Amino acid sequence: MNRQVATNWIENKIFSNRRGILIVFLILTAFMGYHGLKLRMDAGFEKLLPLKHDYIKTLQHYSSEFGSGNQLIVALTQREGDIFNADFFAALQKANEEVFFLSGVARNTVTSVLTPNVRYIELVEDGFAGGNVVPAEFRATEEWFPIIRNNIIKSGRLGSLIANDFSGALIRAELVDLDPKTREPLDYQKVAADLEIKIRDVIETDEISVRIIGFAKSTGDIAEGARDVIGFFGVTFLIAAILLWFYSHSVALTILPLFSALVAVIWQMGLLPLLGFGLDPMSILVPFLVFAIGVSHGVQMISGWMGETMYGGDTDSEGRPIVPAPDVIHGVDNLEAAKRTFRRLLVPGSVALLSDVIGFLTVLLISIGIIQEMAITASLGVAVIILTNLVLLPVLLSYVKLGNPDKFRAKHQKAEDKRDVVWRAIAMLTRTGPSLVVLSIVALLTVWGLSKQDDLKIGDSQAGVPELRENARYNIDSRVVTERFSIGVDKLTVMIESVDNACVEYDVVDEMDRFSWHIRNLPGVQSVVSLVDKQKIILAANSEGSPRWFHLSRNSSSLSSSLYHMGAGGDEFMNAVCSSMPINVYTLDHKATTVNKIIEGINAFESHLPDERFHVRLASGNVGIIAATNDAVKAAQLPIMVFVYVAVIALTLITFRSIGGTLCVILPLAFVSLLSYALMSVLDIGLKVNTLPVVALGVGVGVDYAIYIYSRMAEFLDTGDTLNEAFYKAMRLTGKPVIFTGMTLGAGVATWIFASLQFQADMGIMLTFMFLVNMLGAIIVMPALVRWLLWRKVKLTDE
Amino acid sequence: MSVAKHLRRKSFTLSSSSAICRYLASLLVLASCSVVAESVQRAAIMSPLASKVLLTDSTRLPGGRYVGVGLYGSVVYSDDAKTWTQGNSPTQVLLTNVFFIDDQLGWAGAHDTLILHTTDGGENWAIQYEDPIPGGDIPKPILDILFTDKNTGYAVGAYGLLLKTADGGKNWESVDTLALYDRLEELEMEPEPNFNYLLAFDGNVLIVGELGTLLSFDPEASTEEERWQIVDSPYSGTFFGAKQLSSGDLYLYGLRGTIYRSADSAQSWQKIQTDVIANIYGCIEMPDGKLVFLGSSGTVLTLAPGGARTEKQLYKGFDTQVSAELVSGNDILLFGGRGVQPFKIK
Repeated sequence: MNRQVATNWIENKIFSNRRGILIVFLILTAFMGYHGLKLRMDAGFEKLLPLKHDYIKTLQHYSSEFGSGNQLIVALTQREGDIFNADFFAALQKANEEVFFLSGVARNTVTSVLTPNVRYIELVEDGFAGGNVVPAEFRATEEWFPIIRNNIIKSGRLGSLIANDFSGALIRAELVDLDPKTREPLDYQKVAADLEIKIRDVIETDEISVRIIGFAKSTGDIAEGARDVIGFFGVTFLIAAILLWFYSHSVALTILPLFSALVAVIWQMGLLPLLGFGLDPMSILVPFLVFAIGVSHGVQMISGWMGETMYGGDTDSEGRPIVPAPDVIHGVDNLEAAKRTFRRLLVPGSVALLSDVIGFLTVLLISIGIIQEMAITASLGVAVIILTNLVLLPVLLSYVKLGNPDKFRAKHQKAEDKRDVVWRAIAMLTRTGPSLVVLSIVALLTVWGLSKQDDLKIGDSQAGVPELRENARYNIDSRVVTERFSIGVDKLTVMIESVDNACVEYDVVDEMDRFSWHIRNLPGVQSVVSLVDKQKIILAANSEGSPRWFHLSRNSSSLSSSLYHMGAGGDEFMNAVCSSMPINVYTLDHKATTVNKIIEGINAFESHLPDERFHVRLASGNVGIIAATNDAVKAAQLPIMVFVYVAVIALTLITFRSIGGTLCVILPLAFVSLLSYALMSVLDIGLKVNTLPVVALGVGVGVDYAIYIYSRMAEFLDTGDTLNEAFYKAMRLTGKPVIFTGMTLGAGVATWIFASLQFQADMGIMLTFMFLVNMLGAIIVMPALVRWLLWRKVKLTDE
Repeated sequence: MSVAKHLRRKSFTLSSSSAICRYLASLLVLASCSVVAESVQRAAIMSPLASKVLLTDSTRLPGGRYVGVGLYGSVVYSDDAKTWTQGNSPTQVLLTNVFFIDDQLGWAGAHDTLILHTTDGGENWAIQYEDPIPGGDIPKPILDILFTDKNTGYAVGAYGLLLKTADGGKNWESVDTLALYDRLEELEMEPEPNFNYLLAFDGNVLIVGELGTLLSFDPEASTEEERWQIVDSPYSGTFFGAKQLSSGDLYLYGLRGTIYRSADSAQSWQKIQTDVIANIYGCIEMPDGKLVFLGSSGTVLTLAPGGARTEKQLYKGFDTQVSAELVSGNDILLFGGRGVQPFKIK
């Protein structure tokens, strides 16, 4: 057999060059470790976007003219009472200065009631009068406060710069992406840290709270939160070590799988900077996965090796291990044990790990940078495990000598005998009656799971920044600011493209006005703001403020006079030649259903103008990004599932060369995938960028259990055992490592549930579920399926 | 002073579309010329927000129904002052005023020199007159409409616009203001001020408007000279409206907290102290004789009968109120920037 020849050749090459291999591994690990130290947290904005989506193209097309919406808001809120006290104005003054000098802030954009670009205009009998809201001669005294209060109202900034109930004030600023001096990209984490150290820590008192929101802050907080996970690595490591100790009762056998998994992690981390990738909140999870997969597959190797050293000499006439082992037992030496284990695990081990790689690679179908990077680094990481677990680990094992083999063996066998009843019981599931019970439960759960599929939501339903926990400081700040000020945080920007000087052409602005009103009437829309609203305000002001003039004029001179007073504030509503004018739609929330309905409604608007005069282009703003991301997720969902299943089916078919066997492995997997979707709808976790990969990974990693068990069982079936007997023997040999694998994998990701980032927690829950339930599927559902799917080929027990 | 004024040019010609209309009418021997066929208007969207958008005027019908008009062609009515129904409106432009002569017949004025008419108490509206850019010159919104009986009505608007009808609005025609123009120019006054408000007064029609404009218009006058009487104005700023009480007292209100009272038919004026600089847009009389004045930046003022100084009502918010209607006792409805909302006078 070719396969055998190849296996033997590889085995000889490896075990005759053990020392050389160790030296190569040592050098490569040092090299990778060196590069791994260069890793930096990098939470780039673009990596989070589905760049191929039309909405994102719109966003990027206009980012130079209208900014990428990179706004920073620092709000000071008075805990009790209003802002009219000396302490508050002193704090606001201080905060204003700090924001002004913050690195990355475009100084001309700093806006608060204290800055000179905020003026009030009032109508007097012979025209306009105006001045700074807070004049230069202002002193924080009782005489001045009523004047300032009036100026604020007259300036029209109540709600935008001052809380609607005068309980707070805020400072707005735009950040520039490139440092004007160094031409270096802005370090958002440094900005976020500066905001904490220089502003929040200094200004916050018992009376005054500091609320900070904006992309720079949320990015910084996400990066900071992502870092917390690093601490969990220690916990994961400890859990794996404890599990391994209970599994092997041997220090060497505990250390070796941990060690080779760590080598895989070091290589994976080293590969990141070599590929030009940084560490981001998504890819920071990959080392966990690599470690967990490494340890769990390593345990197969350990378990095989232990078996060989203890019972390897006991084979029946056909060379099969005798299960259970006879009372008089013979082991083989450590080198031979390592070789034998290597020989037996090379194919199933590689297949299992390859299926993991495929699971990760399918995630590439989601065309979002951060996810694709994770897919690449994770598949490389798992590919590395093939080397560390199937080469390094057996080589290391060949050097291990058990201290007191007889005592170890006796203890082991006693424990095995105790567990025997469990394996016998599980093997019962291959009998007709129990298998029908299992299959009917599966059928019921399938029906339930299918009924839940409609509840599965695409995207996020949580308020605030979805990556952060709902009660993260950032999200609390954002809630307080939106409550007290008239500021929306969920914004969908629709661009109107027209001819040059369109803003003084009545038919264009009038169409924009009608379009705005159309959008305002869509369910889920909270408010709509565009150039025409500003124009109407100024046109009314030009007619002495009368609301009866709050209307666009058919006269283009009047329309152009409406732009005259707009000054700096108008820039965000038109480009220089006034051919592109954004309409900002503030939505009630950013749930996918809300967003979809709004976009559907926007697309339903029929313009009375030809396309070149009124072209509607979707969409930017955070809601535009969310819509594009949801589209990308929705578009990728089916291809990912098809791809991962086709790949796993192909792999199992090639390995087992049996359609029935492939079905036995795949059906439990599909059942668990279905249940995981049901779990998501029950837990209200949406299908999104962070959770879609989980489903693919769950399939890729989840298939491993069934592969290990099935390959062992097939050996016994092929040589004539009854189904019950073959499954019992397979469980006796692989049951413990499979359960152990499920637990280590589960432990590796379960710690994420406590992560400070919401999406990491969601991924943790989902992965833990998939890893553990897939294990149960392999040891409970698979045997029941085998009874019915392989009945032609196998001898059933003589019942 | 209005900035748009600089853009203004003299305009003596009749509006072109009404001229064409009359030509067509004579040609086709039609009883009335319908402008609907050539209308540039598009019907209002039916919207649950219609009573929440800017409402610029309101009225209470003799039978108790309330009607408000405003942004995006919105017309809303209510028979219980609580639930509001949107009427069918043929336009999306800003409606600026509404007037009913009885429980059925009503008119609403708007931008595009548009006049809407209803015959069913405000539920369905049709276009009666439309002239988006009179004479191809400058847009002139209708700012107020007044009917003295079912057939006789007047509509005024920006830049000295004055229309009248003798047949309930089937035909609206422009009133010649040439003589007035010359007299105002002689007096070095703005010859084409915005006409903001109409009040039936002393058998004539009182027009109040921009730059202290206070004119008495005699529609029955046989000569140009007799038609106009320029009333001495106590103020050089804009008046947004006027109110005559049953006692005969006449009130004017306008720019920057301005309120004046005349107890002698506009012969002499007393300034009412308001202590606010917000514009005053509307006024209603309460059952107890108290007056309520409304304006910008959340201004709600009360004036005791015969009082010389207003008191400020506590209104939460800084949005503009344009108009109000009495519900009962101290309960009123406010119409303005936030649509219609109930309010209790303290």
